[in-house]
Parts: sequence; structure tokens; C-alpha cells
Amino acid sequence: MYDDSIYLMNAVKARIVNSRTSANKRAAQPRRQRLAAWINRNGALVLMALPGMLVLFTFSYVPMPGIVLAFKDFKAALGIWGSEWTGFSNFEYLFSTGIALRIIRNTLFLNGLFIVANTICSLGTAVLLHEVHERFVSRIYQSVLFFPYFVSWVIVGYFIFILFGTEGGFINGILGSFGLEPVNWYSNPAYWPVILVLANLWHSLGYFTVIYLAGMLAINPEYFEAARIDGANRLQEVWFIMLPLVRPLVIINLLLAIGRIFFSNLDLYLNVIRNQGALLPTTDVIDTYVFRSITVLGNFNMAAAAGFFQAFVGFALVVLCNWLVRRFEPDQALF
Amino acid sequence: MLNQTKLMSAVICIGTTMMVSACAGAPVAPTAPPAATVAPAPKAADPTKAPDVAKPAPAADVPELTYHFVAFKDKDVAIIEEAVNKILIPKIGAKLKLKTYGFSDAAQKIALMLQSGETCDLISVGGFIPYLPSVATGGLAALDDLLPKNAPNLWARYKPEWWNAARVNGKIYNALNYTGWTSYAGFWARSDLIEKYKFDWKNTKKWEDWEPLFDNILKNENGVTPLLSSDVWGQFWFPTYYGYDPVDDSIGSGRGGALVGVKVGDPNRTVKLVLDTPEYRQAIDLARTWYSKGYVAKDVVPDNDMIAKRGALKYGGFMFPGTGDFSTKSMADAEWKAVPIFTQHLQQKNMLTTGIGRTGFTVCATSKNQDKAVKFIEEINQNPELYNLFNFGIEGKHWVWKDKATKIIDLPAGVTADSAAWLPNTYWQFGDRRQLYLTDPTDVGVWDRIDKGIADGDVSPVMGFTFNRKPVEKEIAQVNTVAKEFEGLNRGSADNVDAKLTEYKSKLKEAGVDKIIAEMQKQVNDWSATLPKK
Repeated sequence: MYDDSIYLMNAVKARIVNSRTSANKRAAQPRRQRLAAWINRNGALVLMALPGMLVLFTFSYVPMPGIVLAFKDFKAALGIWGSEWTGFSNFEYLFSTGIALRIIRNTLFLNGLFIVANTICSLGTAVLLHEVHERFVSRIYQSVLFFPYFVSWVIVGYFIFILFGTEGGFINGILGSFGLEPVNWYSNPAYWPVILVLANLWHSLGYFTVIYLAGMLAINPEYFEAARIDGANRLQEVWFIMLPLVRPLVIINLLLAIGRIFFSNLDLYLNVIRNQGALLPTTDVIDTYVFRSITVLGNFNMAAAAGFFQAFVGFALVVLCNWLVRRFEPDQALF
Repeated sequence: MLNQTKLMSAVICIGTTMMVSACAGAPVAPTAPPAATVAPAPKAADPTKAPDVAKPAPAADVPELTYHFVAFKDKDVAIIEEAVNKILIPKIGAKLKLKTYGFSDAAQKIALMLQSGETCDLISVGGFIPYLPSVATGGLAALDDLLPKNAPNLWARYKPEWWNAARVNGKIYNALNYTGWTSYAGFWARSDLIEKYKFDWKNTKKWEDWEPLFDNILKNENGVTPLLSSDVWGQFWFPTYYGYDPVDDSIGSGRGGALVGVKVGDPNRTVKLVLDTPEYRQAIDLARTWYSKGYVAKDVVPDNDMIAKRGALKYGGFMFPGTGDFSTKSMADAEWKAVPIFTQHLQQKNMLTTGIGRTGFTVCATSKNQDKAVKFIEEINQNPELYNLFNFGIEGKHWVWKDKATKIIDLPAGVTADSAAWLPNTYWQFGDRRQLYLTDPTDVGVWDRIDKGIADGDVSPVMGFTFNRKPVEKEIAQVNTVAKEFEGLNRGSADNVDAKLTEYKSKLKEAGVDKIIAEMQKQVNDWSATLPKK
């Protein structure tokens, strides 16, 4: 959801910058007239951005002072500000042992896989769809691909179970018909990174495909015509024209994904893993660990500490990546 | 809706039985004879105490106490409140404002209320509004002085060691509800299957004795799994069956017994890692054998699915850590398509643990009328009319007599549990259960069985001890993750038991289980030093 509001913000920013340059030219005009002109020019866009900004403000900025809980031993009777400061002791449990290492490694590894798989597959699919010139057919493909995005993770969890169930599961049925032994999927952690990546890909492929396809359709067809006249083949068109021109979109999406690389989609983990302890070695991530800890211990300081850590590292990573992007491609940087 | 009801009643079971074995329990006559161990629930207030509360006051002038509790069906709450106040105002000179909660959100709402310092007076704690977290908010009042002063009969009714079970860091915050504290690891099984295969269930003494029935089910009942299990249920380590007090259930994967335990009869109160005990090995070997034989579903189903399947009679029975003495009729009606459920205790003796101190009435620290609130607690513990009004509602409207002599009641004609306008379905909430009317004739005489169970049973060597988790919270978080990972051992789904057990132990050590045990041992030692020498 925030993705959308950020796109919108960027669009608004671009328009505002444009209007500023033109406004300079009309510097002689009286102030009130200039304001009226600005509203006339940008009012609709600002209005469109408003709900997104409000949501962002309400849910991301208003609760922010709660971060102090991460550094306190919260006692209800004393209130948030009256509770005792404890320094970094709430963070210790995230880092003090081998399990902490494992959850951080799993989080980064799985999210990394998701990002790579999503980007490559959705770009590939978008390229293929772009080649489908029959509008009606293309629309059908898009809808079919997009549909899983609206399927709740609870249901996805059942799909996966129907496929991988030990007794009566679809895949074990196929294995059985070839005379192979059934596999107890839900007690072998090694398979699950792959299964999770496939489930996540299936779920979000359509979403990113549509974004990239929109970017590709916005490319001026004259570029392709010129390339064809110069004798470029289809692959060369894709490689030298299409991909470079959607790169800004890819970079924005990557930066946003990297910002949340320490967060996990709790829905995905809780529903697809089905609370199977045996799968924890490869599927236990920071969020599931914190979730388990709170439900058993009821210690919200630990949760606040974990959330603060995730957000802080995510923020640092975005700044770092943006800095890298700016160094090599100043035009593509987010800020 | 039906599913929701089933889920709800299952939740009631899960929430309460661990502590009070009240699940599926039917009501009990107030006329039950007093036990040797429990002083009688007086039929009426002690006459010497009566005068100070006898002055009726106009309803408008008396202070109002807000009372928070959970209820299954609460449509007629306003009518109940009026009837309650009619009884209460002349007795204690205060009236109640009833605030009912649903089972799923009560814990959160109450925690929020206590944390935000909102004014309240009375709260019933138990499985849904848990006692220890409520105390931890700092929002509850200590009752050490209030109880002897304002509820002398109740205070005298229970032994000091039982009151000790309600102590947290030395203070009592909970006015105990006596709910019949017997609970035995054992079976709940479908009577239709038992009768069909003429299984001699009454003479079973241990888990293994049930194998013939399961073999028959596997062979002849297509689609029925002998043993119920889910992501919550179906773990085979039952500490009390093997004679261990788990001390703190939160150390472990959350179900299937805690990772630590103190053995009954151990004079030194040694806190042990259960993995090191021969009994644990016995339990997981049984789990593996039964899993391999197919008594348990190979896939672990989520709890919701399990409840739906149970309603469709897809299971033969239920290994349950806390089968009690009460009738299972209401559970069977709600959850097993009304197929009667037989209860067989396999655990030899009842064990009283600190768990008995977790159910009862608490008073808010913010209450301006704490004396009156405790007087209400005294009154509801000795006034069957008031007590049953809370449990069943108004005679003729919400319930009718079926047999007045044995105190058996029924819902009025045309009313079902689903359509009832008042049915909290939570007998453990409102005080001494010996006052409760019965809904199933098989419960006549149940208090004799319970009293005998308590008298003949064990008392845990750490009865009255409550573990302060604070110093080792981080270790518990780590250890619980390891326990979750190796849950398969408790379920029998892990092959190569020897290697897994060794790995489990070494990972637990790495996660700091030794530190938890050392801390608990230290607290137990400190606590036992404060006990009077025998």
C-alpha cells in the first residue's frame, strides 16, 4: 500500500518541480495569482495524494514515539514515560545466541530470494506480455496473473497443504503412482525455502508484472521503429531499449524491497508453514520469532526492540543503496 | 455459526481444563457434603456477620461496582444485572454494573484496561483473563488484609497452602474459586466406537492398554483417525501422568508439558530438565510407536481443522492432560455431535499444583470500594441463589427445574444452548462450584469423588510456588524456539529418536536452559526456606 502512495508522491513531486520552474518565469505576477495558478495546476494531484499521505502519517508517524519502549522496562502502572530506562538490554535476546543468528540469516536469505525471483520473473513475464499484440488476449493474461495477488494467504496455505500433504497430498500421490516412497514434506526443512519462494512468486508475480508492463507500454514506439530500421532483432530490442528504459522502475522497487528486507510477511509464514516446529531451521524469521516470544512471554519491550532494529537497519540499507545508485546513476536515485 | 460454537467450547476446554479440569463439567449441587479437606460452603451467611450488611439502602444511593467477566451468551445481561442487584443491595449495600466479554478478546481488553489505569472494581480471572499477566500489569489490589476482614467465611474455608497458590511475590491477588481441583491425564473417547468393538475401557490402566481399540478403528472405520491431534494437541509428554509438576508451563513449546519439572515426593525439590528423565524417554517412545502404527494423523492439522473434523466424528478419542470428575455431556453435545464421551483416568493420583491459584475473583487497584468488592466475593461464595443467577439466569425464564430434590435443572422448552439469552457457560468464574445446580444426573455425588480424589491425591512439592520469569526471559525465548523445533519428538513424527534427543539436549544447553533451571532452583530454594518446618 505504501508503494502506491510513494509512486503518487513522486509524481506529485515531479509536477511541483515543473511548476516551480515555470513559476519563476512568472515571478512578476502578484502572489495571490501565483497561488491560484499553482492550485489550478496541482490541486487535483495534491488531493489524490492526500489520503495516502494521511494513512502514512497516521500509521507511520503518530505511533513513532512508542519506539522508546524498546529502551524501557514497561510497567503499566508507571506509564510509558514513567517506566524505567534499561538501555539496550531488550535487544540482547535478538543477538545473544545461535538462534538469533539463524533468524537473521533466514530473514535475509529468504527475502533476498524473494526479491531476486520476483524481479527476474516479473520482468521476464512483462517482456513476454509486451510481445502479445492482441489487446484482448493480453488483458486476459494480465488478469490471470494478477488474480493470485487477491487470494488470502490463509487459502494459499491450504493450496500448499493440498499439494504437499503427507497423506493424500497431490505430490505424494504422483510420487506414489510412479512407485516412489511418499515424502514427509512438513517435517523436512530443506525443501521449504524453495516452496516459500514459489508460493510468494505465484502470489505477487502479477502485481510486479503489471507495473513493469505499464512502464514498457509507456516507451515511445519510435525507439523500437528506429532500432528495427537499424536491423536490431527482438532480443536486441529488449536488451538495449526496453530494459534500460524500465530500469528506473526496477530500481525504485528494489530500493523499497531492500528497505523492508528485515521484515517478513507474517501472513505467509504463519499460513504456509502451518506452525510446524520441524521447519524452523530454514523458515524461522525475525517476525515469527518475536511473535512466538510475545505470545508466550507477553513482553512487549522485546517486540518493540525487534521492530526498532528492523526499521533502523532497513532505513540504513535504503540510504546506503540510494547512495550507491546515486554514485553510479545519479538520475535514477530515489532522493 | 455452528463452527464458531464448537470452536468456542473447545476454547473453553483448552482455557480452563489445564488448571481446573472444569471442561465439559456439568453443574454441581450445593448440598454436597463437606470434604475432609475443604470446609463446607455455608448455605447462608454466618448470623453473627449478618447485621452489618442487613440495612437496605435505596438503589440510587449505593456505590456501583463494575464487574468484568467472560460470557458465552450474554444477551439478557441487563435483566440479570437487575436481578443481581435486587439480591445484592440489601446484603452488601452496593450494586453491580456487569461488563461481559467474548472469549477471544477478553484478555487483551482487560490487559488494556488494567494498563491504562481505567477505574474498575472486580474481574474474574481464569483461562481467558489470565491471572499472572493481570498481576504483572500492576493493576490488581493485594487481598491479604481485605479477605480476612471482609470475607471471613471464605478465608476460613480454604487451607493456608491453597491460599499460598494464589500468591505472587508473596501477596495474594486472587480470591480462589473452588472448582473441584481434580484432574487426571487420561482418555476421552467416543462411546459408540467403544461399544461397537466391546472394548473393556474401564479396566485400562495405562496408555498402551488402549491399543486394541485403535487397531479396530484403523482396520474397520474408514476415514476415522484413532487419536485426535492438531498443532496444539497430540503431544505425548504429560508431566502429571509421570508424576512431575511442570512448575511453569511457559517454558517449552507452549503445549505438551513444560521442559522442566519437579518430581512428586522429592524432598529436595530438585528442578530437573525433563529430557534427562527416563519418563520423558518413555513418553516419546510411545509417541513414535503410535505414530508409526498410524494412530495419529501423519500431517499436523491446524486446531480449527481439528475442531471441524472432531465435530464430523473423524476421530476416535482424545489423550487429555486433565480429564476430570464432572460429566462430559455438555462437551459431547457441543463438540461431538452429542455422541456420549467416556472418561477414563489413567493418571493414578490427582496432583494439586500451584495452578489452583489461578482462577478466582480479583479486585482492581483503582477500585474506590475495595471493601464492598470483597464483600460481594464473600456473598457469591455462600449464596447459591446469587451464584446460580450468574451461571444460569432467572428461573422460569432462562432455566427450569427438572428435579428439584437433586438440584437438576434444564433449559426451558424450545431453548437450546445456541439460542439461550443468558448462558455464560463458565462455572469456574463465579465462586465456589459446590453451589452449582446440575444439568446432568450422572453428576449427582460428584463431590464425593472429587473430595476423595483430593484427599487420596498428591500435593506437589512446589505447590504454592510461582516462578518469577523476569531474570531469564531472554533464555526462555530462545529455549522455547528450540522446543518448538523439536516438537516432532513429542508427537512421534521425528524418526531417529536417539540422535534427535541428543541434538535437542545440546541445542537447549546452547540456548541457556541451564541458566533457567539454576534460576528456578534458586527461587524454589528461597521459597522453601520461607515454609514452616514440619
